[in-house]
Amino acid sequence: MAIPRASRVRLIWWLELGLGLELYACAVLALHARGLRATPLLAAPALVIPALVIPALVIPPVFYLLVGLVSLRPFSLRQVLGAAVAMCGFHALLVAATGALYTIPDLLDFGSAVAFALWGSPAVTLLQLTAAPLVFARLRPLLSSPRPARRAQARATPPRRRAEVPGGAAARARDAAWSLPPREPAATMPSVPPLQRVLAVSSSAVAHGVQPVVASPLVLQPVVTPPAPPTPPTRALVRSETGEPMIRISFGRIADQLPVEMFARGREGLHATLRHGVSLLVPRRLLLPYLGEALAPVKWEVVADQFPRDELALSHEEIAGRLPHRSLLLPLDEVVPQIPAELLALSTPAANVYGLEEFPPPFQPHVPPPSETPAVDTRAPAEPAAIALAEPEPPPVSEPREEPEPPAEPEASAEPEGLAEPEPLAEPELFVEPLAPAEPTLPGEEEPSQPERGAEALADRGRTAEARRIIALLAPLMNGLEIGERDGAGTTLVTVVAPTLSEDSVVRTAARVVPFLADARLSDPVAQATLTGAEATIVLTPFGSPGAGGALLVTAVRSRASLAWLERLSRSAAGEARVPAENGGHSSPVGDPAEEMELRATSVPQSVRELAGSLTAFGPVAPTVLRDTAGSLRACLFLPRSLEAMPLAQFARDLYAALEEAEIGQVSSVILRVGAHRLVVRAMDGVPGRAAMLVGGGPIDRPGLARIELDRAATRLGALVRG
Amino acid sequence: MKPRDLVIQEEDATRITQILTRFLGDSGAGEALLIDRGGQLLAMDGVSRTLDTVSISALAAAAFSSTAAMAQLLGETEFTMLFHEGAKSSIHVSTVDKEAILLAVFDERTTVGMVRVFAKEASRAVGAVLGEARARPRPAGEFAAPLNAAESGPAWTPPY
Amino acid sequence: MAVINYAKKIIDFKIVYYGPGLAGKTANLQHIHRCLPHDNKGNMISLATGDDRTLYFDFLPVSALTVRGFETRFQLYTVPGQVQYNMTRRLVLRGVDGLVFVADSQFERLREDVESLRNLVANLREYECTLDEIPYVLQYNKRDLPNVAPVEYLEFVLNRRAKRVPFFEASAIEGKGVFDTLNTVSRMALASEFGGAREARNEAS
Repeated sequence: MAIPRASRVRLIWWLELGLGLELYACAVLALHARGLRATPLLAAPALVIPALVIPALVIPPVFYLLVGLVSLRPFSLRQVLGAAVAMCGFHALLVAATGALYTIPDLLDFGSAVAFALWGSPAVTLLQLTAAPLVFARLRPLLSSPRPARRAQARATPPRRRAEVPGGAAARARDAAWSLPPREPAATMPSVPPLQRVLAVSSSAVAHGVQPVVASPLVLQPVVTPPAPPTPPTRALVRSETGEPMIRISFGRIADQLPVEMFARGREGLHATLRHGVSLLVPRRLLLPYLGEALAPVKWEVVADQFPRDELALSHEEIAGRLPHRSLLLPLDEVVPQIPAELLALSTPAANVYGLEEFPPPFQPHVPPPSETPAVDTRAPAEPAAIALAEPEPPPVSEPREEPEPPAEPEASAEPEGLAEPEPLAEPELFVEPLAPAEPTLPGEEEPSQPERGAEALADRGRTAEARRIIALLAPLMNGLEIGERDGAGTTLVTVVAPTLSEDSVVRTAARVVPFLADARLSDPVAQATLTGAEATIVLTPFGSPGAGGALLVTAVRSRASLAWLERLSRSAAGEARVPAENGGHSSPVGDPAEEMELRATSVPQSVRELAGSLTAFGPVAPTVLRDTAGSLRACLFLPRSLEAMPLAQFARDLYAALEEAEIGQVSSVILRVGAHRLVVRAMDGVPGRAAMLVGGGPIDRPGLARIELDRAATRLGALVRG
Repeated sequence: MKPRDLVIQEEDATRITQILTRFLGDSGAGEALLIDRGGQLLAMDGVSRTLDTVSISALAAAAFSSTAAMAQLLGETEFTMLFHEGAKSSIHVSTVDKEAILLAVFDERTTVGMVRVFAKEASRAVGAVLGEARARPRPAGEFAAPLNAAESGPAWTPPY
Repeated sequence: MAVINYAKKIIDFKIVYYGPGLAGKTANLQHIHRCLPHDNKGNMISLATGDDRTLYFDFLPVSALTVRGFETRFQLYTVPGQVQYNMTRRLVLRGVDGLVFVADSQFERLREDVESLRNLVANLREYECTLDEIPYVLQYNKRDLPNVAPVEYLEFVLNRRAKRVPFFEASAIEGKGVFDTLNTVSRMALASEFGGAREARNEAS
């Protein structure tokens, strides 16, 4: 049977009280056995002998008053009087009980026996004077504990704690709990140390009753376990006698908040409270309202009674006055683990964050790129499985996002083995298809011998696979891109074209540009060219090193959305060469030298200078104005000092001439990546006939902005040209 | 109420640039930056070298704000002009309106007085343009419609 | 206050990292600066005292996304956390478009976190603005230290407004949680700019 701890303690106290009273009875009977008799004289109620009666009636109240005055703390006259009255009452009861005891052996009537018990024997009176205060000391907490006041509850909890201490050596055990040496209390106490201590800590309700009076210690509870040390990390629920949840804090954690002068023994007294295992108990409900502010304050009055009164040199009021806000601040790291999670749960709704999922995470920690250079080739194999090639169906969206598979493809490419190699890697039907069109579309390369042709075919597959990879990556943006391989101007063009565009137009337009990609008038071969036309935008990217004369990746889309990304993808797909190819790759100028217009540099008008300053995307540029022999403005260039204006002007004119009436519609601008620079070439507005060119160049980071700025410049310059 | 965003249309930008160009021409200053008091660069002119305009804007706005706070402690509304002199370059910062300031960088080819005179005029003109921009209702075109995946993408791609 | 420049096709947002002193605001920016590639960040400016306490602010401009043709740039600021720099904190908060509240998770610093949050609300009030109007996330930093409060308690103390905002556990000094925080608050700022119409429609319907 599990009896609650509080009830057990009360039961023990009642037992102690009962046993104590029984001892009193034994003592009285022992006296009787030793010859004490209730004589008729002494027992005569009617015969009041002043010498006997007066002391018997006066001494006890006075004595009890003195006891109350000396031992009750904090001092309160009302409490002292009340205690004296109570003790007198107990005295009267004891007298009555003793009288009852004497009626039997001495054969007296009750009244006489009572009279005898009251004044008949000094020994009996002495017993009564001893027993009454002890009964009061034990009875008072038993009767006062049901009171709902915090004070009473706080008072009640240490008694529960002290109940574990053996009753017989109560004083010593209590001393041990507070780590006080046994003899010291005797030194500070008046003549009846156990009694005084009992009364002094009556509010703490020491777990012993009348035992100290009797010589033989009565060990009622052999529980010697000291109070368990506080275990903040575990949420061991501590409850008071009434079942209220309490928070346990080790004294050491709040010691630094206590003023040293409050302790009777100064620092020693302070340190005495810091012994291991001694802790403070605070009702949880008092802390909950403050926890949301990251605070755990407790008023001094709540915990005051947990400090041994005889250790305190100041009153509770004085101590409270010395604490900030009259409170102690409990350490949160001890309080919070003792709070159940459900009390900390928030019931407020989560904020609605609309639209986050529409944006990819903007910022990623930079990871150094992988060191192997043929990084592009290694990522071919898995992607093709996701793409339908033969049928012009939109490729699936989800799969292209897969991580690249281990590189089986490059191994196949590296070894000039039979064409059957790649088949185990992917679905055969997907690989077979491009090989068939590949052969008839390589008219310009029939010369290479068979092994080279085989290697060529493998290289074709590699390029095709790269083109497929682009499709896979672009699929979420542009559905239904179609891949093909065509010849244009003697170069293999691997095309990735949006389905709404005519592949034919794209290829023909691209073919017009192909010869200019390695033009000698450029400082370096073109690494990428972007043509913006009315109906489409075409990005040309040579595979491998620019100017090496290899195949060209041609991507064509209708809108300009994600153009920068398309350009980057094309470059990475085509294996962007970091170092420009040597100039030996250049081809001769396409235009007929005899037809080149003679251009002369002329003075730069102020408006053009101002324009140069407004071209922020190009970096620092210097303006050059070129006019023909007739004085008409033919070219306006904004170039860094490292680029020569004249050849570029000629190049731009020739390029635009080649793009006149392009199949994809009028080309409004061409952006070329040349080495570390970008060139933006466009015709100026409102010029009839052979157009005047506007060229901007420099280390451009933001081609979109460069194009916009050049557009604006073109508008302004158009007026200049016409005027 | 959260302050409304500032929208600078193309024509606003053009007008402001014209005002700044004229200011630079008249005052002889080298560079002019129009800066929002929160630290963002709104417009600039004359900046030909690799000036860290973003950082300068943030610092200038902070410096101006802190002196404005000092002014309030002294009982002034704010200091309307700051001038810091360097060995070669000096800066002049002045208020345009409650939300913007104008920073001019100049050297020994002109004087702070010249800059100050023309800065006042330029500030007034720019303030008028900004006022109009703020008063305009927010254009619904660009941002009102829900985004689809194609419309947002990285400005850079991480290396594969 | 975002600045939308149609001429340059740029939108600028201002994100401020707020919090008590030594919570890890500067560490956040330092980590971001270390880990972003060169193309996507500007110079980091730190106005600090000799012992590395932020005196005025730290500043780092970063960019990453293009939305509808607009380059979106974020200017990241930190405020000085020490109590005496309240005026400076208020100045840095001007025009803020997104907030990260960096809280020190240690038990003994929780009170300062609460005071700092209260201070943030008061400073925003000076600009006639409330915390609910601004994209705002919480970062519970220093999770690597031993004596840290559990996240449930940190939520209880710091995330008790009418709506609970996203929170992130972090150890800025080790780089953990820094980019998650930044990505969310920047996307919230973007969504408030680009998704505002939808939200208004949703709330209207």
